[in-house]
Amino acid sequence: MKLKNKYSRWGMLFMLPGLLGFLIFAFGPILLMCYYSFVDASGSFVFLGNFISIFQSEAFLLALKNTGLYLAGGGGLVIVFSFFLAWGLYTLERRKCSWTSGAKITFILPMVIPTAVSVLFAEILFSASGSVNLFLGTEVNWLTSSPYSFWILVLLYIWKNFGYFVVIFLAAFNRIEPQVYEAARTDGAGSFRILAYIVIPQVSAAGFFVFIMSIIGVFKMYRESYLLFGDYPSDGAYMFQNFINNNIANLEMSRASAAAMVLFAIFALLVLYLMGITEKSEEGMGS
Amino acid sequence: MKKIIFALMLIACILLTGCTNTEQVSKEQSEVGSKAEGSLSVYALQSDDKVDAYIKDFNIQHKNVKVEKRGFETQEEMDETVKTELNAGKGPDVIIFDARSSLDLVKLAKNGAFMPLDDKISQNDNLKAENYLPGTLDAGKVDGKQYLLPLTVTFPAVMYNADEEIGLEAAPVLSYDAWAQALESNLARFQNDSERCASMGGHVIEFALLSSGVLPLTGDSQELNKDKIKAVTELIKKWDEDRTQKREAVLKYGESAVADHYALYSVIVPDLLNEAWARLGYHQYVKQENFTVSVVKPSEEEGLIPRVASSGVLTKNAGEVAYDFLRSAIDCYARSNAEATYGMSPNKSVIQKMIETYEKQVITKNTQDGASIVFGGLNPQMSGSLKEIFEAVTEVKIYNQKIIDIYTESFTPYLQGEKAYEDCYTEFENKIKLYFSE
Repeated sequence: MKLKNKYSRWGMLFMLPGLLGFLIFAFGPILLMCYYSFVDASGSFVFLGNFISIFQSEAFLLALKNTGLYLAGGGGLVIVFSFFLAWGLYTLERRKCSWTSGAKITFILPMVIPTAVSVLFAEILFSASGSVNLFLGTEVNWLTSSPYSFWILVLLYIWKNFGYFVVIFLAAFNRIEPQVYEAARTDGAGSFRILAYIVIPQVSAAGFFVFIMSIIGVFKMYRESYLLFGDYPSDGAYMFQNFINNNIANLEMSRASAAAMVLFAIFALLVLYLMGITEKSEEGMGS
Repeated sequence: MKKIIFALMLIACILLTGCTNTEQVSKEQSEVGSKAEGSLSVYALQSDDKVDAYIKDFNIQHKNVKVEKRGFETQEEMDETVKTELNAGKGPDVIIFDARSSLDLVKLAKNGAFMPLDDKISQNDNLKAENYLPGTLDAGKVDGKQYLLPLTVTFPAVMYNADEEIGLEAAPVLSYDAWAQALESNLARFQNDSERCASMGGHVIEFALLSSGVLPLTGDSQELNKDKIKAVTELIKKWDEDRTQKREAVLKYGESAVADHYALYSVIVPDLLNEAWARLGYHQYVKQENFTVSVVKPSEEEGLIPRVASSGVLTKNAGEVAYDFLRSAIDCYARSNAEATYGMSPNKSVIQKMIETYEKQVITKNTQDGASIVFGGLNPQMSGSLKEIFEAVTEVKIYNQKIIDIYTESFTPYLQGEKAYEDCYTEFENKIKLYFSE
């Protein structure tokens, strides 16, 4: 890379601390993870041995399935939910509704609530003697029962993250020029067509960002999961991080690294695929 | 291209957020940190005061070695610290693990956290298998290599009042089924006599699981015996309910009165010899009561299987002198006559020596409330019974506390009446499967 002028050199200089931090604390561990995934505990090269071993493990397959479902369920729901909520708020804002800014702050609040508090909140609601049982007159321990524990995690995830995504979508909606809507209306487009052919393509970049953040959010939920269910939760709530962390706890670095590599590969493919779609969508807009 | 690089960086961030762990082992780190000769670091539970005896004993022969003991207040704190430090390739020279540690020592050994001791043991004449209870040294082997040295063992045993008035049969060695039957009849018998009711103290679940042999507690087998787990769990439930109800009534008489009149004393006997001497001898000679002890074995076919109460390991950073410490610790009782507080020595000559000592000794001890109690010696009949018990040992094992923890966690809602048995069992079965397939 050739630096064209002194400003570029200054730019590089300012980037350097962050770049170094990334190389040392992010890229370095990833390389190390890659190394561990191909060696056994004694450091001998085993090629795909660790990968074969984890794919033969029931726990790994369960973790893969649950994490996929969680990503699709939690991640998908939060994107759809926050998109439509943001669209509703945006419509109200355009009609000069006064309480929308208050609503935005309220939506953001769960994000700043400490994990321990949100876990306590979930326990108060869903434990055997919790409010939900009192309200429904049931005696179910929602936290330890397999299908429910999964949906409690999904619910917590949506509750914690939707506010942030609403704000991002709102910012994206605000970037669309009002004249575009007017032109569409003049051409006879209804609300659905405006949403499908103007709004969604226009906010696809924001949607892509929200998608990435939702994946990060899914993995951040391990704290809540661990505090609620421990290292061996019920079947439905056993996630990838349980598998990885339990293996790390037993110094099974090779298996943990192989699992992380599989995850890396899945997300790399997924993100590259979505980037392709986003690019196509942007090119379509441009032409 | 720029976008692809951007995407890869984003993926890297995702993985960093969710999957990487700051406790990654760094090989370079693991290779540094070896202690210079002359100093030794030991991790143990603060409550394990035998470790102080080990240190004292060790320093008699190694005056110039400074032993730095880090005593942990709780098992959880120790497990977390050890796990983190081993992950970081650090850690002390010696770790004395308590049986209740939830760390999977077998997996840790397999993954290179500990140093194999075979070469050193083979050079040591004192550490011969025949000098210890059967299977003691084998209990510390993983994949045929010796990683752990069992230091003390506990016995699943019942001490009870065999007075005819009490109504328990004085079988020399109880099987699990006989124990269960005795318990049932005892519970029924004391229905209206709160002062002399049955009480098993703590460790009820641990005892029932160890003695029933229904769980893959050693990791050798993953088969679960559903019917027997149900039977054990029902027994624990009944026992626990009964104990709770009667305990309240018994407490009216005060703690010491309760202790003196229990028909059943203890379930996990930390030190069979010490307990036998202190409690049985006391009842025999002071209270003129016919107390006896029976140990519990999983079935008539299987012999008595004590549990390793504490074991020592050397981490891979350990220096040469660390092995001397472990070797010294395993025979500590033989040289220093240290009294055990939790767990007893598995060394046969130590056991023999202690039986002989307790046959002769009669001492007076002052209790906390100022009273003076005379502890009598063991009579020949009683010491003969104890010898029979030790001869009945067929194997010593390290049990996996994690399995016991998973059982307790899964079935507590059932024991507390919050959840149906089948739901708890399904949860338990799933967790066990996960644990073994990880």
